[in-house]
Amino acid sequence: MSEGDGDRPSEEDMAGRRADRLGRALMQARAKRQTSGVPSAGEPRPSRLPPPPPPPDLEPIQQRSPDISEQGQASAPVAPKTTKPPLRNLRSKDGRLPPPPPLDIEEYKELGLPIPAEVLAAAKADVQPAPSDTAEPQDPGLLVLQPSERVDPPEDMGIDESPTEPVITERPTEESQESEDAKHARMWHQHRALGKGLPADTELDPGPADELDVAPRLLFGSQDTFSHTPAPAFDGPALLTVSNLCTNIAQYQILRGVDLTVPEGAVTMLLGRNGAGKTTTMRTIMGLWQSRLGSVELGDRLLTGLSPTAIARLGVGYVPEDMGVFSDLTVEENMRLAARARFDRERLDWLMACFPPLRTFWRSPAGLLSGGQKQMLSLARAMVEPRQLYLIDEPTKGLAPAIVASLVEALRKLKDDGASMLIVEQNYAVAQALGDTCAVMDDGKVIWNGTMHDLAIDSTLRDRLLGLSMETSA
Amino acid sequence: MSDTNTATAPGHTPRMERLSISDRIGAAMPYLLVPFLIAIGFGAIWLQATWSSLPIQAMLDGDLTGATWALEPWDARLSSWLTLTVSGLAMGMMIFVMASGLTLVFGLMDVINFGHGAFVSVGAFVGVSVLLMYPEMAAAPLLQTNLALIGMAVAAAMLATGVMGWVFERVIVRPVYGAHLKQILVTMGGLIIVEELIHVVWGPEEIFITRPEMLKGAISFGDVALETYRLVAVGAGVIVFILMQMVLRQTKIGLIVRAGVQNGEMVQALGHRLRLVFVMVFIAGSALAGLGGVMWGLSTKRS
Repeated sequence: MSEGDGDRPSEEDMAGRRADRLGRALMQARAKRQTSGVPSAGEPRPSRLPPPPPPPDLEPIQQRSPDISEQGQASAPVAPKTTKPPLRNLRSKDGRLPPPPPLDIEEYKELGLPIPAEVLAAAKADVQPAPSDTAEPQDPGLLVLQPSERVDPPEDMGIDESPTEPVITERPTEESQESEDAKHARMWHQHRALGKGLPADTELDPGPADELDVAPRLLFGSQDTFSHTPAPAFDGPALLTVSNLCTNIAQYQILRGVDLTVPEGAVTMLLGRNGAGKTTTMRTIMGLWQSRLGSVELGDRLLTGLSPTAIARLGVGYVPEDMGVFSDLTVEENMRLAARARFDRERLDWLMACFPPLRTFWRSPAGLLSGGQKQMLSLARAMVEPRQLYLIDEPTKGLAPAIVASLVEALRKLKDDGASMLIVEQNYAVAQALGDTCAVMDDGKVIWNGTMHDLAIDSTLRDRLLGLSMETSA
Repeated sequence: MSDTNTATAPGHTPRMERLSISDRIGAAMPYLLVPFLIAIGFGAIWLQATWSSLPIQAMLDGDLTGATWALEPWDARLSSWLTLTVSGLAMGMMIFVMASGLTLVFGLMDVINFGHGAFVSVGAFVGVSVLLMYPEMAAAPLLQTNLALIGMAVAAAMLATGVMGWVFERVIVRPVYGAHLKQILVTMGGLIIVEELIHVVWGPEEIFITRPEMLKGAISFGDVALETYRLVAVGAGVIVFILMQMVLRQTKIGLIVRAGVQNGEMVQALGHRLRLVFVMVFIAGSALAGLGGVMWGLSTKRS
């Protein structure tokens, strides 16, 4: 882009001072966050994006619940609210707009005002690493993994590599390069918006904001697919309680005392590296392996020792790792097998809206479906009857990013309906987007238990628990 | 340098080999085989009719050139061919009825049941016993009375073999699910036991029966004579086939059976009692064997 090129000569002049300024800006931002806990709207920003967070009365649900910080690690810094508020929500009901953001460097240029050093430095930081000036990302596949909330200014400047920073997606190597691409895509849209001659010093116009929305939507499928809503506190009744579960397969001891709870109405993610025992846990809960020790309770009913049939009849829907699709049967017959007596038309229509391929291939053999379509069928089959608990084993395994986005969206809809789920997931971004609570397994045990939020804000903890597995298996 | 630059690439001439005949018609082979076998059979029967007048005549004359090459007309043995075809079809249908139970059990439950033949025998003996119990019904020259008798025999045979199948599954097969070698051994043992039990109950001698009155003899179309019983057997086989297809395609039980063949674990995880369906299939398979036994017994007129 021409804007970027025009800034290059002055970049050399500023090279020495830039590092100092950036460092100082970062320190300020951090201090502010750690003391206030909420990003301040008056902080110098590199651009129009992100908009300041709305006043609390606009979106009370996104406020962080105080219970979580108490039950999480005491040492974890109080995180800023990382959710990017949807831009359309900026205007409150009475039409009042939030205070205008600080000026951009482009706006200063247009207005002929002297450019403050901070703004200049911030703009440099944005422009400097430019791997490409095009708006389109090189590989949308990787970008899908980036939750769209990574727009908090200090993290977004690409200057912070420290592991303690509560950035949600922090990629050490080529993935950080990808995040730069995303940022540039966003910048390009910003510049285009300003190029439309909008008065820069007046109120924030929702028009360009909508257009700015396009970039993340392109990258992430849907805008709110991967945006993370902070976890509410789950002190409600536990739906599923697994205690001291030990399972042997042949002579191998796979589970060595798994303790796990799935709260009612919540999505619990089961994470961990390959071979940790996640799938075995799911199968043992479902009754497909018999446990040697320990118990599984659904509500107040003991599942241990029951057959898979009985467990399914008690209201547990299961999506196995291999999807378990009957390939010789048609899609319809697959679904009919899971429905009690007759199809609930309304629910079926809803499922078909979630998973359009089901309608397309309703009468064709399920064996002809692609991997993603089979996964959709498997999920829809589990959901065709409302169930108390859904056990979903790696829904996104081996699927194209676009399909992952639609699956996540469907699971989120189900979650919004109040369904309780236990999901095994290797794709950390998906886990974070869906999960309320989280359990991390290693070597046949649950080694960490907490809210997804706690894990999301603490990358040290994440590295310790998941190691490389979450980065590489995506 | 210039050498490397001016060197031309070898000509691109992809080679496409001719497919062999087996590659070309392999997929259509099962369908091609039917008209082929029909033609072979017809040709063989015709050849047999026209055989006598050919080479022997020539050799007696000692002069091949003087042999009379008087061929029979092509439809000389058409009626024989039709009769034999229908009787072959009837035989095939009876074997289908007997074996369908075996394949159901093997396909769904992965159980190799060597004892299946015993169910056929028991079915035949029970059916024959019923037939012998009501000789006046068999002698009556009324089609419906005769069919009622056969229906009773079939019902009794299917009931007996069904119950036997249930006991067999419970006692002999259930402990060896998943172990093929043990299944072979233990069901073979079961077969021997049932055979000896038949000797105990019905004795070692052959039992001769006469078919019900209306199923004796043949129906003639022109000079084509078709044995009545064989037509009935073909009809019964077709009915069993259609019923089986309907149950498997249209009902939920059939859905569970077809799904269970592919992935039994998942069927259970969807909340279906696969074990119960297994037992039902085993009983149904045994009962089909009993039906096949009755048909077989009536066909051979002895047990």
